Amino acid sequence: MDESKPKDECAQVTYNFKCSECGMNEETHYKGVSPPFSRKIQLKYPSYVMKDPFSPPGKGEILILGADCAICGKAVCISKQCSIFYLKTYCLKCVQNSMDKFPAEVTNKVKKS
Amino acid sequence: MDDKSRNHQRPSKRQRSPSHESKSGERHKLRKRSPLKQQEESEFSFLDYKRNLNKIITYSSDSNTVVNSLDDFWVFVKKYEMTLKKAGKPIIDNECDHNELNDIGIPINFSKHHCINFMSKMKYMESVYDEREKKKLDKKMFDSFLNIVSIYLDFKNKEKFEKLKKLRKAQSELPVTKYRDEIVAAVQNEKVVIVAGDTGCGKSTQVPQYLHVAGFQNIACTQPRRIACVSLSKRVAFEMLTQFETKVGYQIRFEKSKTADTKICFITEGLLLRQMSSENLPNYDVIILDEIHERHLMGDFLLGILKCLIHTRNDIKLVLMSATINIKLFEDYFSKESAVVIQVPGRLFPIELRYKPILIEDKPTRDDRLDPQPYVQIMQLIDSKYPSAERGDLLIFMSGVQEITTICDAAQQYAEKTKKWIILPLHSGLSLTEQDKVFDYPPEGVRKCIVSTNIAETSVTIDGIRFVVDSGKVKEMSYDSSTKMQRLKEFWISKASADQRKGRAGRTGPGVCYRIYSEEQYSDMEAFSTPEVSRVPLASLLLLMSSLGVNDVRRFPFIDTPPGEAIEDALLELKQHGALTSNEKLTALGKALASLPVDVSLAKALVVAAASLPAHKLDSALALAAALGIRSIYTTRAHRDFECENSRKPDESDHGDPVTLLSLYCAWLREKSRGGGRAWCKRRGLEEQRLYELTKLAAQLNTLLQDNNLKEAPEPETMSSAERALRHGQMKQLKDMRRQYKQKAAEESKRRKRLKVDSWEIIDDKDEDNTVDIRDIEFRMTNDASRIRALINGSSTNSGRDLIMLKLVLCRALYPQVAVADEYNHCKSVSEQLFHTWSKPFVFLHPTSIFGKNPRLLQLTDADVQTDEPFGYKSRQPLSSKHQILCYLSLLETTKPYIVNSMRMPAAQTLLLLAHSIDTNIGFTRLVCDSWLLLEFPYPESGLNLLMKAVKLRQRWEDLINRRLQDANPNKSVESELKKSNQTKTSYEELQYELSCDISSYINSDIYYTIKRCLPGDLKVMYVGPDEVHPTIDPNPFEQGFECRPHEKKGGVYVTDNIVFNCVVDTDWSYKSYEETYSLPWTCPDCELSVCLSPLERLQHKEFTCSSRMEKKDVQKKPIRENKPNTKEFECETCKVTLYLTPVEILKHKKACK
Ligand SMILES: [Zn+2]
Ligand SMILES: [Zn+2]
Repeated sequence: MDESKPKDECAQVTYNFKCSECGMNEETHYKGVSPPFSRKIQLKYPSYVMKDPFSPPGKGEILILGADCAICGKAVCISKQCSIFYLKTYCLKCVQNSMDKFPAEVTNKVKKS
Repeated sequence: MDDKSRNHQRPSKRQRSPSHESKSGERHKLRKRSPLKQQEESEFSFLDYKRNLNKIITYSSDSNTVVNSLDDFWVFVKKYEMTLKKAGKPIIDNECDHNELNDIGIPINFSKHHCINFMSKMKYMESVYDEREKKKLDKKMFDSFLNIVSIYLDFKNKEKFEKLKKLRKAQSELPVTKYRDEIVAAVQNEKVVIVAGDTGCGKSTQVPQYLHVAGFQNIACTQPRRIACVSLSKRVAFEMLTQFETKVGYQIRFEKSKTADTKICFITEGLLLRQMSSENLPNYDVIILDEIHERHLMGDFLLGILKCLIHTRNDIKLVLMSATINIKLFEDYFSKESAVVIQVPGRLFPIELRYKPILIEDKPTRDDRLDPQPYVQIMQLIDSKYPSAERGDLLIFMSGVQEITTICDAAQQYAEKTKKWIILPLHSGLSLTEQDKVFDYPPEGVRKCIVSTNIAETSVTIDGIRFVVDSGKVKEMSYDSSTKMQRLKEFWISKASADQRKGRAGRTGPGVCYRIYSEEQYSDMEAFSTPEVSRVPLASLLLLMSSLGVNDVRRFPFIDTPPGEAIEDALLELKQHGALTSNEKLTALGKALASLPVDVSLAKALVVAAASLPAHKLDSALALAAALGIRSIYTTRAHRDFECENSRKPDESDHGDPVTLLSLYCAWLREKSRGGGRAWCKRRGLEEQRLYELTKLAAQLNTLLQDNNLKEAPEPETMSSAERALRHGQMKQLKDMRRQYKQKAAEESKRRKRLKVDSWEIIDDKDEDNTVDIRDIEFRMTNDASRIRALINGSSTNSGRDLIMLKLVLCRALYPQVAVADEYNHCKSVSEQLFHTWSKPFVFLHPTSIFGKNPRLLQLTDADVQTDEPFGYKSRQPLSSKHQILCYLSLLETTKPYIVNSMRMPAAQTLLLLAHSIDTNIGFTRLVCDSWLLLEFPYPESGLNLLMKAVKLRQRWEDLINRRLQDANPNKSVESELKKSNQTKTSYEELQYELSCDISSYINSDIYYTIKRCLPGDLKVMYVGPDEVHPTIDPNPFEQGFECRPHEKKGGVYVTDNIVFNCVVDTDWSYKSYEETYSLPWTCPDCELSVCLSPLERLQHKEFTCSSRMEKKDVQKKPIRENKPNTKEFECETCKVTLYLTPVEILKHKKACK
């Protein structure tokens, strides 16, 4: 993890993010829990983070696209069709494989969708 | 339920007391809560703590989503609290923090906060109270608040994520997406790739991105229109998620957003062409030419240039993009380069086609007026056949603005009755806001009826069109190169156009196309429209070609070769302007002209002005050339509305239209300096947008003159520190305003406006007056008060001498575009005033022009005519010193051939100074200019004196221009360097000053003459012919050292390049007058020699043998003036001396003089 990267270098380093479920494919600027371009925001689980492409730069706005599944390690996006978040990111395949390990409130949502 | 809750809310609010505070402070320690506390909690709202919480938010974080949108955040908090209340859940949640994890690290107890990835790092502060400063917010409550912040962040993130997904989905659904790999592979492997696909297939936005992702680093993509460059670059930057960077940029006439980081640049065809001269071409690895099917002049030429370029430049790939029109033509054109064609099918729904849906009588209505009824009937037909619940708008194609107005008026009447339609005109003459209306939504049950020129055929794409009505006509400009006259005429469209128009009905769903004409008419149509190259003036293009190194323009590989005569006429024009030598090599003047992006004649006006006008007066020429180089500044109302006409009166100039333009511009600048502008323009029927464009173009031309060394860079303006501070403040304010405007515009563009059925025009008027005008802000940012003042000073021509020089500069550039009045004009009505030009007899004054409205300005009054004619002189033409000719910018034929943008000039003075050829009889009493106009000077020596003055002035002026051109392109040979060091040159300012004084006294010379247009019959007997032998003239008083040679056809001898002496035959009176002159002894006014001499001999005496010659030269020496650029002519009232001083020096002088 490259959390310690200085700010200006972050502009150059990019992390390719490709959702293993839906194929979403974008270049992100950071992977981790404390995006350097928005200091007051912390994440619970290391994620792929972009500087928000829809807001002017320097405003600290970020966009989280997804993370690597906590079980299988494949990258998935935050879309409901691709993953759930429960303290960590889990791809839907893995959730389905271990339904009993999650609280009902979480798996209910998966069944619904 | 609602009532109940309200009932016990009210008293409880009043109940709040200090005692509650201490209790709530303890609360987090308590596991069980009393019923009272529960009730209190349901009353709790973070909104009560807003002020203090806001402080924490803004203090504790440098910047993030919450800070950036505090208002939005609190709206969210309110909604969130409401949802909790409705669900009966507490706002302060008390879920326990201890997380027991199972074997794969998942918490066993569910907490909704575990579903949120975000955490906020704000620090708790002790001092958070509610609005009344009574209740304190404890740590636990604060943590709850942080949870809401996290939920908000998560919510916002999802919103943005969805936006991104939606964008990607839309991109993936574009027809062109399927061809991505094919296109990329073709560009990588081939030199030329043609991508053919109809509008809406996504090629313009996607192909540049594909190529960029594939690794191309410097992509140029041309567009025929400036607007498209800007909007495409914005769209592509958005799609590439770089809208706040400069990776995608644009470059158009007045502005660019391109930087060193730019990888994809949208650029106008014209600008890319100008980059094509080898030293300017940026390192493009791909050049994409978009919309090549439109066949614009510049686009066609670019095709040819690039076709040649890719043979020498292996590192450049060429991508041609076109609608699916005539692809074969482009494929064949690039067959040697083995172009690959990739066709992208568009998304088109079935379209029902109906010819002549309404029975139309084919006989023309009275005075050829367009009958709008068939169009209204089709609207009725749509109303009766298709339920208004079924959406779908109507697009009507008409040929021109007038036709659009006619249809709109009739349709508007129908719409007012039915309330089912909103009528919207669309043509390029409308302002952008007006044009934008066609994209707005109509209310439910109402259809838009857009009445458009062919602009909506390919360039403007409007969604939601279901019905198309095609008039089958288009108004197009054609050009007659032999008379240099443009014609605006209505034509039948081509099959390709008709099909494009039809296709507009099937873009969003199945549609209907009504063709007003018959199927036979359709089959009679040409397959394709005439490309621009065959119907526009070519001089500018050929000059540009020549400057780009095209050696033989006749052999240039045009995709469609323009007519041979058009090329020959354009080359002749360029030679007449001195841009090309007689063997068609580019001259220094030509090189200078090619660098200026305006018509050749306007470019010439600028170069001539740069040489002839002092620096501080050059602004007037820049403004004038810019005013003539842009589209008309007048709105359609300007010449119809009496009020508009009247309010422009004070600024009109009876010198003509160009001077009026300049005067209106100065008046506008003055208005700007007072802070106004928009209302001022509206009252006068002027398009303020054009005046901004004028300012920008003038500034751009100014820079180009400097870049080409035709003008010295001005001294940096000196500002006092107070002025600087003031300006700094202004700039800050303006930048703020601009930022606000841009934000607002961005917000506004998100939601398309809903159109109102009634009186949309009036609503719009109000809107416009209240809104911030971004162009005004930008104008003020680039032009501070002192700059505006300088512009006004530079652009106004207060003194007679300035005006004379300016008019002559323009006239010199436009020559031979002059017109002479018909001799019977004095007995004709205003609209029948006839004029004749060299190339085109019988043209009219345009009714909106200054002289069209007031032709008397051009006629002689009785007092102007000399009735006391010299003895023996007889002529049907009036003898006067006040004859005038018109110098004009262009000829335009609409209903009649018209002179457009004309200016009056004293006839003989102008002709003798500017005519390409002047023929004279032996006594200089009969002069023929350009084998067209005969001037007779019955008073002895008057013609000779005027001609002699003209010759000398012409030489001095020529020298001045040549010197300017030479200084611009210094010839670095040793010889010229030596020359330079040997002679100390008189300064430009001095030469310019002397020339302008002498020219203005020459122009004002009071000499009586007649003027007559020579018809072919007259010319047959006008010249002596080559049979008679003429002795050479030695010494030659006209041009020392010029070797006289006989004229092959007319007879006589050339005494300068422009004057042929003794070739015009004499009439009785002129022969007698000559004899008389010769027989009477002549006394030299300078040396008192008295002897019988012919006019020529007298000249020779004055020039070469007169004893006063030497003395005269010394007398002429004038005091040397300093040549600071800001010097002004100043006549001191005390000492009566005219001096040239800077404003500071004037003050000093005034002090000293007292
Ligand atoms: Zn996905
Ligand atoms: Zn997984």
